[in-house]
Amino acid sequence: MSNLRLINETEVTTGISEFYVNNIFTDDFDIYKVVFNNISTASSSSCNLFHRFVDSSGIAVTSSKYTFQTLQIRDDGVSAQYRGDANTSVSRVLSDLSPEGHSSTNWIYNPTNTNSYTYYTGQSMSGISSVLRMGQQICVLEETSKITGFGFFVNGATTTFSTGVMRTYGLRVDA
Amino acid sequence: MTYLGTQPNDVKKNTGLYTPSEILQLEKDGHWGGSLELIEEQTVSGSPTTIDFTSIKENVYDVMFLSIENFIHSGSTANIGLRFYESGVLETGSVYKYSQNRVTTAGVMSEADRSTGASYILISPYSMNGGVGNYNINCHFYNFGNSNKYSFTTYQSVAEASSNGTGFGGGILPQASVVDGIQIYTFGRTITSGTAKLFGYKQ
Repeated sequence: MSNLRLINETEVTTGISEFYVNNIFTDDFDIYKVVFNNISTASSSSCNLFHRFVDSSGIAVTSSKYTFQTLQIRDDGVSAQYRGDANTSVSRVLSDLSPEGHSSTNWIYNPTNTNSYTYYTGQSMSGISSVLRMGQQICVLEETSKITGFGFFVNGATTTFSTGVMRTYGLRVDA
Repeated sequence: MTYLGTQPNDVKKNTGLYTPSEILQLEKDGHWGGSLELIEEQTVSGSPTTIDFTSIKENVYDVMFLSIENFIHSGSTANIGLRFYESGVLETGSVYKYSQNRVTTAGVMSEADRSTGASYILISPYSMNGGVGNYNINCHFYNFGNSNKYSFTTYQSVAEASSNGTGFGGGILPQASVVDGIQIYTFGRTITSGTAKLFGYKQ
């Protein structure tokens, strides 16, 4: 048996522009793997997806406590970096209309530990307007509040989600 | 909250243990077991120039993980790449897109390798002469069994030799098709040792 434990699988609801799953991080595990797959949006235009955590009240954290950097590299050589020390979300990954879209694998560390900030690393892939956009992300949520959920939203609500799934796994660590 | 089997309710923090009743219910639901499931493991034997996975269970797992461990090739300088099978036919056309960044212990960081139309997806951080070191690479694959989606991969790699380096990047097969096989190859070089393990993420 592998050491990953599937905790939750949630399909994206078609037609929404914010997608969060709560009550996935508990005191049972310190480290989680979150996989997004088959994410697509209704518009053929590129749209920016920003990540946020969810607090124990079920509300997305919007305080200016996200310190992050995202490196986006492309097959056509036009790379970009997004970073910030006091942002209200994590910028950014991309999605658009299927058959392109977005997938990613992410690690979340210490989300419910109120003596630690919440850390996040991730790798993503998006096919946007025939261009490959690979993303490498790091983030610290500089709050010690209890974090129990994760997800993302379409920046500016410029479009809505069409398909997608989010799966959360806990990493077993032998005592 | 929906949960496949039970609420997160481990007996001991971080141990991921289940109670007997939870195990019985998980078995009944078909969800018992760890969530990273081995599909196939191949250890290099003989003198292959490729390693091919042709029974990848793409209809079972929409996200997969490939671990390439201690790969060594012979002959002159070569990289390691990926190609995919569509309905049993290896795609060798110049249709793959990829891009990667690499960092070396010599202090070089660069977006060194990319292509808008190659016959492979490059996954090694740099090319090495045969026999001088080994590659360790892990890859994630997305949407292989979905005929309505392009097939994605992301990867991280490390090459150990006289000058060590690491890389990360991604690739796309921009064709809405079912991918039912994966090929690891070294541009015609003979692979002398190594192991490759393909896993599926439980859904």
